[in-house]
Amino acid sequence: MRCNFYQLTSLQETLGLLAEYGSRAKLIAGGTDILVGIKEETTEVPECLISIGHISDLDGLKYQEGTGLTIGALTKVGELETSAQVREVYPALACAAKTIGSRQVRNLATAVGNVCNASPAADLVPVLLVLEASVKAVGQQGERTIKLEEFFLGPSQTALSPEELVTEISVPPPPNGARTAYMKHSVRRAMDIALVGVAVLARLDSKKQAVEDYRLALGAVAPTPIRARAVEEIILGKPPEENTILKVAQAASELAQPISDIRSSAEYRKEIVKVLVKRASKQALEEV
Amino acid sequence: MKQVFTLNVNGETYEVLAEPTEPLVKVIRFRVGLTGTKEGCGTGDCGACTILLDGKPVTSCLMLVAQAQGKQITTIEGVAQNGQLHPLQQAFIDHGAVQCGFCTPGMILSAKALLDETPHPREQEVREAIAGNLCRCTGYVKIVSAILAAADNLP
Amino acid sequence: MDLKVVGKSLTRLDTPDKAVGNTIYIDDMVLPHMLHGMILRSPLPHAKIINIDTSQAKKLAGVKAVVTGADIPDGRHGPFIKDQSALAKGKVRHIGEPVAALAATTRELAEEAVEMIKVDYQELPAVLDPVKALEPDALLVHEDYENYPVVFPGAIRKGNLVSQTIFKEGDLELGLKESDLVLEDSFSTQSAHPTYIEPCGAIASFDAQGRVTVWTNSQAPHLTQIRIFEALLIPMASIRVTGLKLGGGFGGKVEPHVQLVAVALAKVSNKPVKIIQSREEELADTRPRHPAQINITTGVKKDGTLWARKTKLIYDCGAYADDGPGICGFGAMMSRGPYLIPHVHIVGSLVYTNKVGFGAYRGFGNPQTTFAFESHLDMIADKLGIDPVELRLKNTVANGDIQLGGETMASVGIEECIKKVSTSAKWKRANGSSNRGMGIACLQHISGVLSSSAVVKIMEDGSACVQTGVAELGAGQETVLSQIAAEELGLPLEDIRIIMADTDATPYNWGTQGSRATYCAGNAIKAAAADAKAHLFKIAATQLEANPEDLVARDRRVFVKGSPEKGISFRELGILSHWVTGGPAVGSSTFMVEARHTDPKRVLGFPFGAVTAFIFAAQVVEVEVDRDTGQVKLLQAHAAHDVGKAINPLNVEGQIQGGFVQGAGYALAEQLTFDNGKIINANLMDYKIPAATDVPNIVTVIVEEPEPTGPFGAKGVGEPGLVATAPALANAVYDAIGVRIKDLPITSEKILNALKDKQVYV
Repeated sequence: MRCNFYQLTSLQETLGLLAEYGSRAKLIAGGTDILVGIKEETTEVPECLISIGHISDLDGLKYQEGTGLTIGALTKVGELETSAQVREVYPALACAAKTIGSRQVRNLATAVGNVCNASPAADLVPVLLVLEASVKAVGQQGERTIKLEEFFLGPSQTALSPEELVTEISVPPPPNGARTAYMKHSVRRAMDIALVGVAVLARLDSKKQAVEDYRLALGAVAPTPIRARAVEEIILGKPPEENTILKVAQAASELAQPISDIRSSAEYRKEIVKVLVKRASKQALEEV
Repeated sequence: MKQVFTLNVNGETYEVLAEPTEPLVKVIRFRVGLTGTKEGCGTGDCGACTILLDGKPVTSCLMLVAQAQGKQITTIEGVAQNGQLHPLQQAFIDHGAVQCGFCTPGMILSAKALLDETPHPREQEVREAIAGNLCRCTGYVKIVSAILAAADNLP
Repeated sequence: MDLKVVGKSLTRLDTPDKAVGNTIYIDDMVLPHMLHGMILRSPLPHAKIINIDTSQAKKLAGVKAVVTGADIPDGRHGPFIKDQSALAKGKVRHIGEPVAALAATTRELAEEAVEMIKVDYQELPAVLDPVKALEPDALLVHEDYENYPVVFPGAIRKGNLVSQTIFKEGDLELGLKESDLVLEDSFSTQSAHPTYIEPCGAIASFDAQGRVTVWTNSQAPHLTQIRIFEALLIPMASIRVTGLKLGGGFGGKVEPHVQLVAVALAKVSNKPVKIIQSREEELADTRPRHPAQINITTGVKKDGTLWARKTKLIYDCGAYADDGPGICGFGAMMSRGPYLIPHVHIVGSLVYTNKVGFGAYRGFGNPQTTFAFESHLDMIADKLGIDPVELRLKNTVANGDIQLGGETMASVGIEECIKKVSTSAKWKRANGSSNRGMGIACLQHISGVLSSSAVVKIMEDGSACVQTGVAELGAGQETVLSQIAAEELGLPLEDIRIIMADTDATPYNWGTQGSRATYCAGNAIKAAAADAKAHLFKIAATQLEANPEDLVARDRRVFVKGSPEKGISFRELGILSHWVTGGPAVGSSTFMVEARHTDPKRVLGFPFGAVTAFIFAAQVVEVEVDRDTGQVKLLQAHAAHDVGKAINPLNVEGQIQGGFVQGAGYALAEQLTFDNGKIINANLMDYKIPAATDVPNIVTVIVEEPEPTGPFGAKGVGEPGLVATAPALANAVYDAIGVRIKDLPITSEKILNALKDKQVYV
């Protein structure tokens, strides 16, 4: 690999380099996606590769009741999987983390990298979408918060400008009494890419008779992971009955616009969306 | 441009001259000279290049040498201590868990990381811990039983 | 017989080094001044090479040698048909075919330089469908094919038909007429890749005499030596191929991979050249299993007696014959299955296409046809309302029955395999009443073909050294063959050291392939050990004043049968031997499965002189199918294999379990996906071999029906593990949910589609 390589320990220096190289630079934290891409020639070798793995300010997974979870740019996917607090408060996030690659890869790959890589099949993203997470983007011009729902523009494309990097993901606490679920369909049980990923957050009203909160996000069935808001309305305010759940599942399946590729046909993916939305919804609702 | 990197491998310090973007697996194998770590795919899918980085298993083909600076690296050569095989190594030998041997170093390191954290794992935990280490010879049966047996024999 | 070493689950000799990372594989080797080679491969499935411009690459500092087809002799190589050159000459016939290669001081430089070689192609239409390729006006993959030399007599070939093998027994038409039920089905199987975890590699180095040494992970160094001669016309005596331990092979490392190009580059550069393939090159360009289309018609009596069988097999050969003729012929031979059917007509055809050259991969043509007939057999059982186990038991072959081709079978353990595996699995049919189901499938295979030689030396200190051309693939060949020698010599295992897989240091062996090492090389080693022992016995007879015929060797001693106190130690005999015969007692032997005369009315175009030592197995699996997603979960697996005699039972179990999991991958997920001749899933994320979380424990049952011609009764076990797994799974899926998938792999998508078509069941 022929490129300029920098490994910096300061965020300011990194932002300076980014301002200089812009889109000719690529950042790596864990590096697992980009290095594979370069090896398989699906990613071009950038003019400049900047490793941020040694910027200690970017590390850290913090949870505070009230404000929620902060996932620093160096937080490994594996930390989400094993953190007691994540497992307790955001079980679907821990569950999605566990489905990514192998343990070895999860110990290298970062959660922010999984998000910024903007793969339609990124496992963490559907869960983060239903949790209404946002990212903090920092550049020399300052910092801004971008809602995750507005972050993805297409495969490998995000709302970040070439001069910005994401320093953290903020995940608000789930609404009181809400439950989440993540379900993934893949050929292998581990070590595999999602053919479809589905995340649901659901909450019943205090009498447990109607669905007061319902959020649905889908992975691997559109150019980006998507929040399926149009579908959510079907069940809001209604009793959590099988029939309504089936309607949601059907509508989600119709909303999905998957492609056919070597991993699966579009038709099959749509079918799986239906099954997983049904199952994930039931899990989130029945456990309430 | 090549630079000097200081690596800590199996408790010893090595100074190597390498491009900063060289995959760690290549540096360990050809610049440090510890060829027990294997390369099977170069894309993090097979797990043959698994090493422990600060005690955690990682695929060394997906790391650049620069990223490994300041970390404690354990390779298969550092698993046996004072000429004594690790109980996992002995169990792999005794249970017929080694066939071609190419996945074995990575497999043993993944298993070691598991037992270091979970000394008495269930079978399913063992299978999950080695899911990133592909083996094409054994069908995994004897590997799983070797790891479970080693867990029973841990001091 | 009271065996001391054979039949024991002794610790494998090679594994202590492997468990600490000390074993040297090819990519661990580095020679002084060594260069790194890289191959430029064709991007087109079929094209004329107009021009190759290597000037830019040659200019790059550090590039020491560049070779193209024009720079190498006009030799063509191949195990059955000489149709392939080391680098393409004149035209390319598949995507990934080596077109040029270079060697540079570093691998990175070689990667960069190889992209600077510019090739002008004139694209030709690609022949991709083997059925269309047989049409009279089809474009030819090899225009001059009929003039290529072929090694076996009676080859049937024409146009794109590489070879054809036909077996006939009885009178098919009559058999079908006499049947109560005639069922016809078509099946297809995909291409799967051996996916050994260690990539292919070689280092080649010339000396001033023009001798080349090639270090490599080859399953068959003696065959590699021949191919180097054939392709590059280097005299064979000047070629030394020395095998290292392999990180798996499974058939994919039998015929040459990168050795020929490494030798060509070493010759031009006059430096050692190392080539290690990338995983992408492995998956996209290196010898996967032949895809096949199989059409079967079976006639059966009401009581379940199989009466007539017609099978038409079409194997897609890809661009080069490689082991294809053998695979096609052997697959045809296995197509009757381990059943006695009086009226049979099997036609196997192998057809050139512009795809990667398919080759040997665990099973040698057998998995394809076994998937078809074992699935088909369950469809018959279903129609007749007979339990699949019962139907199989009713028709199995037995000792003394004749195999297709005329060989009398002497050790048939299939009935015991079926009975034991059914018991082990607690066989029961769900018949679609739940989402769980069980399936059974059987197989037959061989372990005897062609030749192996061995040398055994009993050293002056009484220890022994075995020389064999067998390679240690990882299956435990070193240990098993040492156990055979130890048993024959009456020595403990630790007194035996074995030298393997070196064309200069070990005698000929037709490759560690075809499940033949234990049987063929084992026989050669046992006889060579007996030969060496006879030398000692002669000396001992004088010392003990006894007849050599009355002597036995046990526990490092030679003594008179029945009088163990009257004996002499190996150590003393070794020293005596030094003075009596002038050195160590040396024994040698060659084992050959002799060609047999076959009736041309019954066998046509079979590429082997004879095959023998048939092995048998039955596997039962239980699955659970998710009716909503189509996903299949393997719940349990049981495999009973007749191995004649398990030389090392622990090792045999490992072979069966490993084979089963490869079979499960073949059945459910593994598939090389082609797009206009290009393999588009050439990485281990998209070519999905099973991980530890995908498979259950596999219960093994060892059946020992001793083979009278085998060493201590042993037969092979290497390949069969996977041969019956796919049909067992297909049959279990049918039992669970009532859908029959007839084309591999059985993906969840296919199951879901089939379920939808079926709509209502139960």
